[in-house]
Amino acid sequence: MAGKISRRSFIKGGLAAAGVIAASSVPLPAAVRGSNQKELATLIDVRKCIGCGACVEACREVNGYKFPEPKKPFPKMYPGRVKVSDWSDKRDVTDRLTPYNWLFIQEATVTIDGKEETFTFPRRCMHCQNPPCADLCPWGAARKLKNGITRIDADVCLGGSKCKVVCPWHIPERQTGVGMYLDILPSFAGNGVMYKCDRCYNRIEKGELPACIEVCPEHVQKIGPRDEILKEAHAIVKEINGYIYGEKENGGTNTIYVSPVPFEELNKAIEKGPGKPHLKPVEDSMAHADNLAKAMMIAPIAGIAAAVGKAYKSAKGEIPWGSSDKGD
Amino acid sequence: MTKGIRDAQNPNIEIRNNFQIVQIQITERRDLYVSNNFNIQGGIRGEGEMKSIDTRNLSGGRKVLFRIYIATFILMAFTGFGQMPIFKRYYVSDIPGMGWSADFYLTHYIHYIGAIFLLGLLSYVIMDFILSGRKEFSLTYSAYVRIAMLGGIIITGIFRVLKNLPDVVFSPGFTLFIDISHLGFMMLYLLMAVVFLIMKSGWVVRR
Repeated sequence: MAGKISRRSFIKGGLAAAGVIAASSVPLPAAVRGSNQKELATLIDVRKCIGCGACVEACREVNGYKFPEPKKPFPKMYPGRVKVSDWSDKRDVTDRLTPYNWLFIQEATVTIDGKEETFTFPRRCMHCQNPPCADLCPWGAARKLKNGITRIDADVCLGGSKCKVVCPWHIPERQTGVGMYLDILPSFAGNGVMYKCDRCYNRIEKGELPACIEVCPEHVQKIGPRDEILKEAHAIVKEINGYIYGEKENGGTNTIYVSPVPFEELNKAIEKGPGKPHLKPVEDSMAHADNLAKAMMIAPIAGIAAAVGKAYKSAKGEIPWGSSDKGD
Repeated sequence: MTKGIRDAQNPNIEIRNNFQIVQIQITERRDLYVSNNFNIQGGIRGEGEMKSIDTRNLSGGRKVLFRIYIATFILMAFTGFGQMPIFKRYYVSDIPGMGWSADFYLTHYIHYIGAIFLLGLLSYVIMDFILSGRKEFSLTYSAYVRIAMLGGIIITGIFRVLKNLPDVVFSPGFTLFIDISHLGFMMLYLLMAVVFLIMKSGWVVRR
């Protein structure tokens, strides 16, 4: 990224530093303050981001105390195929998601009307409206909060990495050698703790903005009630004849991107792989389960109806308990 | 303990009670032990004992229902444990034909389908017992323990399903409680099932 765009390179460093220094405690917008019960979403305007990395630095600084401090050597893992995930010696990595880097800048160079243009934008957890990581976590370590945040509780997580597997963007990252698994059966169950963006839940609780939003010199991100954020996103999209990502993905997320170029094009241009999520369309991962849940409501009614029907027949024909028409 | 009908004079014939053909089991003493029409399992007893193993259940002796219940329960236990990331780690999904067991979404769907089936079956059997069975039979102590465990599994399971619906958010503490207790009740149920199997304790006894 460095050296490609001189204007950006020039202002990047200065703004990043200034942004982090300014990160004191800018309050949430009045509409959002104290609304821990209301689903909040963030709006990320791809046009505005200059890739300065102030958000990345602020995230690391503000959330640094939550980062893992693993005990070494790690317990020997059984069976041998279980690999440890250790980022503790690579804490400086900022070009992908790691347990020590919950936000990174993704870059896409696309051609619009024959002209090459580079876009940068922050990537982190999408904070889904119905997050499969939280739904399918077997321990209740990953949870969705009423204000739209999906958070992994580091004190409870065993690091099985299921949340990463079921996440359509494979966002959470594991650090071995830390967490509750060490106190249970460290060699046989669990493998650390999963880490990802918690959208500065504790700052929001205090009525402050998430660090990445607060420090951004270009005001790339905005936070507010989801319906209002969506309204604004659609207004921008209409104005610039642009595109939206995150509104319907995985059934809806609380991170809404707007872009002047199709996300399909951006997805082709970004570097994808471990710790570097895609921008593909995503179907609702929990849709089938939601439909089955409806059938679950009917099942007891059907069972009771069948028993009542049998009792009625029995009353008429003296069929004993335990018998059936088939005589089994 | 089943109150069977003994008929040592006719050891080789089918004996019918009021309702249907019944099972015949012969002990080593060549005594004839005949159950009533309720499900009797356990086979021939040795050492001259005249006990029969009472595994009667709330399905009123219908073996098919009880076997379906057991099969569904095993499937639920398997897919439930499969919600933990252990099948891949411990080579279960490496067994030919078992690759699906490491697919969390698939095991989750199967678990839901099993839950639908189990809820329907249990509702039927419980209602059937309330309407007809309890006139003649009462629940054993072990049945009450099992019902309590099953109730725990089902109630926490219902809350887990609710949690997975969009727009349903529980507090972090409650989420943790239902997730862990669902597994806890299941483990207890399995433990109790083994204990009661050893104790040969059934679900119901004749009043």
